[in-house]
Formats: sequence, C-alpha cells, structure tokens
Amino acid sequence: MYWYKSWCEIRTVILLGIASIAVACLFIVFHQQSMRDQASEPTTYVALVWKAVYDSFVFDIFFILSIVLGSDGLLHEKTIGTSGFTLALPVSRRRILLTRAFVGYCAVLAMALTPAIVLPLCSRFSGQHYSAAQALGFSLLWGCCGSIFYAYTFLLAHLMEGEHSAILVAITSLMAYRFLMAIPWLTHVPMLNIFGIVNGEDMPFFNESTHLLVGPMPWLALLVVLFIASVFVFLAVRRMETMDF
Amino acid sequence: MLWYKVWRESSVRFLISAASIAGVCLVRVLFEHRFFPDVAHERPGVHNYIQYLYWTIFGAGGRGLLQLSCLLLGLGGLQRDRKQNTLGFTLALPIRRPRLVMTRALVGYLQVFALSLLPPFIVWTTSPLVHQSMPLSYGLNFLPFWTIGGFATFSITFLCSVLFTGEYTALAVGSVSYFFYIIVCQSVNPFRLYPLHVAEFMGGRLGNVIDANTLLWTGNSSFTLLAGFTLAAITIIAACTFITTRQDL
Repeated sequence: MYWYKSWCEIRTVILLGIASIAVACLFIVFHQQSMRDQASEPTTYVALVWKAVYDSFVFDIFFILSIVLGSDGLLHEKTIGTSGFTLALPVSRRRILLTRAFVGYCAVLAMALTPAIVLPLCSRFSGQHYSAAQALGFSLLWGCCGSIFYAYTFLLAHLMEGEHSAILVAITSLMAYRFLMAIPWLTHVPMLNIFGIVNGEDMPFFNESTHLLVGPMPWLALLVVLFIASVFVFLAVRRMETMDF
Repeated sequence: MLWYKVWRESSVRFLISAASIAGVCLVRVLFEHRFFPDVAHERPGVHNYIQYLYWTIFGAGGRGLLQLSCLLLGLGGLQRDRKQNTLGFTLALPIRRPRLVMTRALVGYLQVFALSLLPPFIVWTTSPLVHQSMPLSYGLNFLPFWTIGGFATFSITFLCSVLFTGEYTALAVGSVSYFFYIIVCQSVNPFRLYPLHVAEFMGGRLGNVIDANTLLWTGNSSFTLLAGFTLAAITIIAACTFITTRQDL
C-alpha cells in the first residue's frame, strides 16, 4: 500500500524524467550531423554522444531530476500539512522513509537506464552505431552516482524545513565539492571525484580520445558510493524517528 | 502587506541563493591562485584575471547558479497555495488575482536584481585581498543582462507553477523545459541563427557586446537584446496573470 502511495506522489516527476531524457537522447541522435558540423573541431558520433548525453545536456537533466526526486519527504509533508495523514497510517516512520527512498531510487535507476535503451536502438535509424555495452556501462555509472545525488538531497530534505531549501543547498554544496576536487593534492585520487566517475572523465577506465569505456569498471568505488548513499538514507531515517511531530 | 507576504514565502530561497552566489564568488576570488591553472587549461583563451573571472563567475559558474536560483524563485503561482491548502486565505484577501500575480512577479524581479548585484560588489571588494583588481564598472555592466536574463528564466518556472498543481512537477517541468530551450537554441538551425539563448545573453556573448577574445566590453549597443528579453519576460508574466484570472482554483 505504502509503495503505491510513494509511487503516486512522485510518478509525474518520474515519468517526466524518463520522457525528457528519452526525448533529449532522440533529439541528439537525430540532430547529430548538424551538431557535429557546428563543433569547433572534427567530432565522431561517439564523442558527440559522450559530450551531449553523458557530459552535459542529458546529464544535467538527470542530475537536476535526481535532486528534485530526493527533495520530497516527511518534513515537506509537515510543511504542507499532510504529515498527519501519513503518520496516521499503521506503518513505522522507518518503513515510510525506507519505502520512499527505495521508490525514489528506483526512479533514479529508471532514468539512468533510459539512454541505454534509446541510444543503441535509435542510432541505427540515423545510420550510426552506438554499442549497447557502452551505454549500459554509463547507465551503471549514472545509477550508482545518481544514488548519492538522490540520497544526499533526501538527507537534506529531512534536515531543513524551508521550501526548496534542500534543492538549493544540495546543488550549492555539490558545486563546492566539485571545486574542492580541483585542488591539486585531491586530483591525485581521481576516485574521490564523483563527477569524474559518473561520466568517466580523467578516469583510468575511460579513453579520452575514443570517448569509450575501456578498462574494468571501478567496482570498489561504486560500492563505496552506494554504501555512502545508504548511510545518508539511514541518517535521514534516524533524524525522523527522533523528531517530535 | 501583500509584498511582505510574498517576501516571507520566498525569503528562505532568496537568502540561500544569495549565500550560494556570494560563496561561489568568494571561493573563486580568494582561491584564484589554485583555480587559475585549471581554468586556463580548460579554456585556452584565459590569460588574465578578468578572463578568469568571466569564465568562473560572470559568464559561467556564478551565472549558472543565478539561473538556478531564478528557476527556484519562480515557483510562486497560486497552484502552490492550493497544494499547501492556503489558497482560501490568499484568495480571501481583498485583492484581485492579477494584483497577486503581479506582486509575486515584482518581488521576484527585485530579488533577481538583488542577486545580480552581489557578484560585482563581492569581486570588486575582495580582489585586492589576493593582489588582483577588477574595475567595478566591468562587473556592473553585467547587471542589466543578469537582471533581465534572470527575470526571463524566473518567468519560465513562474508560468509552470501557474499551470501545474504539483510543487515538484512545476520545478521539474520548468527545469526540463529550460534545458530543452537551451539545446534547441544551440543546435537547431532556424533558432540558432537568432539571439534567443538566454545564458549567452546573460554572459554578454550575444550581439558581440563582449569581445570573444579579450572578454572586455566592446561598447556595442545592446538595447534591442535587452528590450527583446524584457518583452519576452513581460509577455510570460502577462500570460500567467491571464491564466490565473481564468483558473477555477
């Protein structure tokens, strides 16, 4: 029952996210020639897909929507006055939050998988080829790194009550984190940079000249990322369990 | 009174936005010696402090954060009140709906203006601390572009928050449509030929207002561009007023 409630609350954003990522990928695939013609230097189709999908436009949509999805929660319900109905259900706060986090994370995964379905299929229609294995590899990176964006905002949404404050603070602090990663002694540990892992930039498993994933995937880093995301969700649960409302 | 109500509703978002923009400006200026090599590596045209400031604050990172703040500040339509069950109180005020919408839009515009004022003054006052300098006039020249471009961005989510009931739906639709608008302006030929790209407009890159190499102001007139984007923003706000007046809330 509670799964269905969570789904109903965020389904518009989920469906909008999947549809917009699919449309953006289709747009890039079918306008690839004109986009490549406008590029300042000769660009291959694979490089264009990496730049437009995995490095900028489509990733930006994925990033913003992961954060928007994470920003809903019990504290927000308290602000709009519906928390009483939710908490009146014969379900513990822990289960409410864990279910919501799980449904939200499934939405992030669905959005991450969308390019892996659209790109290989539609590239054929524009006379190009994009490997399904490559697209799935990037989806795996998006799925794992997206969990951090989602879970971090989820935690912030249960720490601060201001309307949309969690979104603003999440984006600003993630920008600050990105700045930090530019500090020379931190660049020696590339796996600390989640914005590098998510699209492979400056990573040993990514070839900068062919724009393809080449080495073994950073399984340990991805597991650590998932673990940190779980910790964020757990902290949000702990915070809500102790709050008096 | 209504102004105060609108201010109270958006003050947290405004203050967080102001803190974020101020933080980005401070970090970029105070740690300039650490960031400069990376920025110069990414953008081969960056040779001096002004060019560095352009690609980190006025034409890129700071500008992006202002646009994001504008998208969030724009979420102020009456549908939001409906979702929060406060619509009855708002509509019970002895004020006509167009005035409610116009007040929200005007407060939003003033907030965008205040946010746009921050970078020039912060950069100008803090630059001497790192033995650099930026003429105040260089930063203040961005003010009309940031204010009007920011207001145009604001009006996109304002329209979404008038049209869509769900609070997060309005934000999601607003930000997604904004990204699509940018993709279309950059890549589709009929649109690419016209000066429609609001981010480039805010960075002064439309109409050669800023020299592409030196990144200094050329002195070219930007009146048509400013008037065009102002008109676009006012048209969207007028549409919001019209829709809200007719809505069965």
